[in-house]
Amino acid sequence: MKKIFILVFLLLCSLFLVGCWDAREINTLFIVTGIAIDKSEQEGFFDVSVIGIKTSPSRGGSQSSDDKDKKIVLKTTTRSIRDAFFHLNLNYDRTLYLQHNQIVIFGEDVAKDDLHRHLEFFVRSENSRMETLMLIVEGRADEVFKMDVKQEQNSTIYLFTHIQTISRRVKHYKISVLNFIANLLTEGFHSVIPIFAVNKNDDDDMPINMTGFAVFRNNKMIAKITDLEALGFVLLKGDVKNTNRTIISYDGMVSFDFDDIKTKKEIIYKDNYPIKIKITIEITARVEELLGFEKYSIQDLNRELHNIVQQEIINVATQTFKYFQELKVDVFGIGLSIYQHHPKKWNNLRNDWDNIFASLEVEINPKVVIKDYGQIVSIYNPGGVK
Amino acid sequence: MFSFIRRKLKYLRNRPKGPKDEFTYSFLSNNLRDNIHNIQSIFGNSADIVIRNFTFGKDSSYEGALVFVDGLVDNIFISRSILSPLSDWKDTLESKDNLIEFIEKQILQNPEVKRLSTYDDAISDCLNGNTILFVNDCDTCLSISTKGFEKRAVTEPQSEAVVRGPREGYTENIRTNTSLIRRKIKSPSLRIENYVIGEKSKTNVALIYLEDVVNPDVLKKLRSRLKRIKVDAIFESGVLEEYIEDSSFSPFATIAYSEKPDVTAANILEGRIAIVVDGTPFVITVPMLFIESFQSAEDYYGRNLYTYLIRIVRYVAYLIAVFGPAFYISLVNYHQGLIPTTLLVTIINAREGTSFPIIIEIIIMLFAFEIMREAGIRLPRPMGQAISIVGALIMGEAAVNAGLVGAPVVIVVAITAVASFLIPNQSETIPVLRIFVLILATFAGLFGLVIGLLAILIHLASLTSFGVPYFSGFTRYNQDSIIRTQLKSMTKRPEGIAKNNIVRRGSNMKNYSIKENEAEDRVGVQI
Repeated sequence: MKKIFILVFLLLCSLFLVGCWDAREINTLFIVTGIAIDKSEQEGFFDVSVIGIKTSPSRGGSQSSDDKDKKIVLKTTTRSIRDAFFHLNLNYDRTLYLQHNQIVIFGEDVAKDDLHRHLEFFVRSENSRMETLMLIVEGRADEVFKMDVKQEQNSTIYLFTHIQTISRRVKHYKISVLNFIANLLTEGFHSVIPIFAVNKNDDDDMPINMTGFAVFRNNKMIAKITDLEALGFVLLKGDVKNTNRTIISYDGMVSFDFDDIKTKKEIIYKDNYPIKIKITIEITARVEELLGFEKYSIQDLNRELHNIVQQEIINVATQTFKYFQELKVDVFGIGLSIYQHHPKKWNNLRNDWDNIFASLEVEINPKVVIKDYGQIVSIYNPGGVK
Repeated sequence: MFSFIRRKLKYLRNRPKGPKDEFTYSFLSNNLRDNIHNIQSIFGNSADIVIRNFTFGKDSSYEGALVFVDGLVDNIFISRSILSPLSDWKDTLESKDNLIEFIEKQILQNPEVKRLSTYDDAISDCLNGNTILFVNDCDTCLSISTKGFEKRAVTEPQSEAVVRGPREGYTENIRTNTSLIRRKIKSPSLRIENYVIGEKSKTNVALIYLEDVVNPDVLKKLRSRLKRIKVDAIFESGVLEEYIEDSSFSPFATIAYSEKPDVTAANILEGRIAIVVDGTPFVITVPMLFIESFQSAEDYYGRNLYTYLIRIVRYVAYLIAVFGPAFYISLVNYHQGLIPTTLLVTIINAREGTSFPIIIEIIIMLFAFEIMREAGIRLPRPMGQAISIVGALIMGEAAVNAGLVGAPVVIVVAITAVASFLIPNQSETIPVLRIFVLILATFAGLFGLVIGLLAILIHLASLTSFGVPYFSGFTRYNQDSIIRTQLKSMTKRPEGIAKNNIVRRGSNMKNYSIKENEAEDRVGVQI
């Protein structure tokens, strides 16, 4: 009897605690896969666009859907993000479902203004996921939704897949809302977010290009790093599976793949400032393309390539570090590591850290191992290419 | 109104208490005519009762009568072993007092003869296929075993087909069935106890157990429960099962059944008691553990590693069979965020344009499946197959195309159905649990599903089979539960089932290394 009572009680609990009022038939949902936020022409207002997948009845495995009809874009202009979703829900027949949102895209203007004010909703709302990726687009963010993607169901799923693919090699390309907020709250550390540009060229089917990283001081974008600085940033950050660099020297051209980049930072304190920082970059390099260098024997070539790579790493890393010192943003977490290892010293440094970072003395110490020359062992140069 | 209540109370006060005993006849008379008359009146001149009067002895000085049920006896055997020796005896005895003893010991050539003195016993034996010999001037009769009714041969069991292993199955005859078990366990400690259950059916029931292994508490309980049964008839072991099981309300069967003597024999060797009921090829064993449903005879005849895999597959299939539709409905109706985006889009596409809520879709499909299953089982086999094809291929496809149900629901119900076929012993439990969990999940999503799971676990943990905890196989006895260990290391009988004689055998058996192989070779050379 007691058992039956307990069973009935549990059943009643299940009925009253959540109940079927929380149930939603999935064909009444609008699955949002991306959100774009831009500054509106109206002062203090923002354009919020959402993109979702258009679902269509499939019968017996055949799905009738035209490529052009795969996406649905909804747009509104409001003061806050919550208002935007309220407004969109009010004016659209289905309920916006945010848990499958893959990506939040910010226009450059918004990023330069204040990113945090737009992220607050995504962190607070229980309908949103904090693991949603974020990125900045040069120009307006809603341009991304107009892109014609051939491969995936819509442009945000394309972008999400793209970021997933490249972040398998360099994980710093993948920044989620949670990462960004966590970085904002961390002392002695500034964020970068990947920045993309919509490809206006109709000749190819690459709708969007990755141009580099947007550098943030707290919640404001202050600069953009491309090519060389982007590589330098990746080298200095470390923890990278694979990247690539082509170096042209006097003897020829060599293209390297850098595998398993690991970076160690050693902070050397002196009684008087400046603090010295020694960064060791461990790289396993593979020769992927080699033109020229015919005057070298195999042994000499190894030594020469070794020197070339080391010099290149020192140049790129030093230049990048200097660039960030000029910007006075510590994106490498040097302040954070002082805070973690020497909290008492950090107390003295924290208020003026940006200036101290700018005056840090840095020593780059690359440790390169050239592991592989590919399938060809000998050096050959049939046409005398230089 | 009051007169009605008064009449009701009067009826309740005077209502018959329990069934009446059928045979209230006393001892046999020493007059043959009286005896035959009484027998005829007891049977009410039934058409199949044969009474054969005859005379024998010198100058036909003695009168006798045979009583048997036509169809239950072997007529040729009767004439050869009873009538022929009696008519050949042309002698006389000094006194008629020891005539019946003389016939029993010196004339009859039948191996199984016993002397009876009451109508009760005589009629009971007669109905069991024995022939009753009455002789004038004797107040006892002889019951001679002449059973010879039609019976089915030992064939391959229908419900427990195996790829490897014995193919003999029980028949409807209790003696054949006990002999099949006796042939598997040729130990003198194998005991067979006979019971007659059913006021009208007088069904023979036999308990079979190993005296040195069986748990005496369980045996005591079983005996007392069997003795307490007062019913008209027992036609199947399933009926008996319901009368003796611990909890009839539970969806879980706490008594196992099998059609294969090797399975029963293995159960008896672990300390269980087999109950063979006359008239059915299903032998039940008690006590039962939950894990028994996941064990199959072939697990022990095949390769050990494969058994690991197949056991795990069975457990997973069980979970799918019970929780499959409930899990689907929780994800789709409550926790859409847990479904990968691409899959969600596929599911939505399938749901677009269907008219019913998803729970109705699932209920339609589950009912359709149960209807088709029932139709497939009851119909003759060739038609059953046709029904399955119509059901599975045509109706499923048509229902999806017509927009009545979405394709994913068909897949979920189909997987659930197929998964439930992996555990035939739980086939009557799974649909009940499935609907219970489905209702909870419909109201409360995964929360409801977990409540359902906990309720089932609590129930399982509290269930007993003849005092043995039903779920104990997972906790105390682990040599043959989630995985089957190697037979060489399976040294113990399940605890709780065998109480006194836990150790199956010593642990002297092991894998043979190269060294041991060489040692054996050397011994061979010396010989």
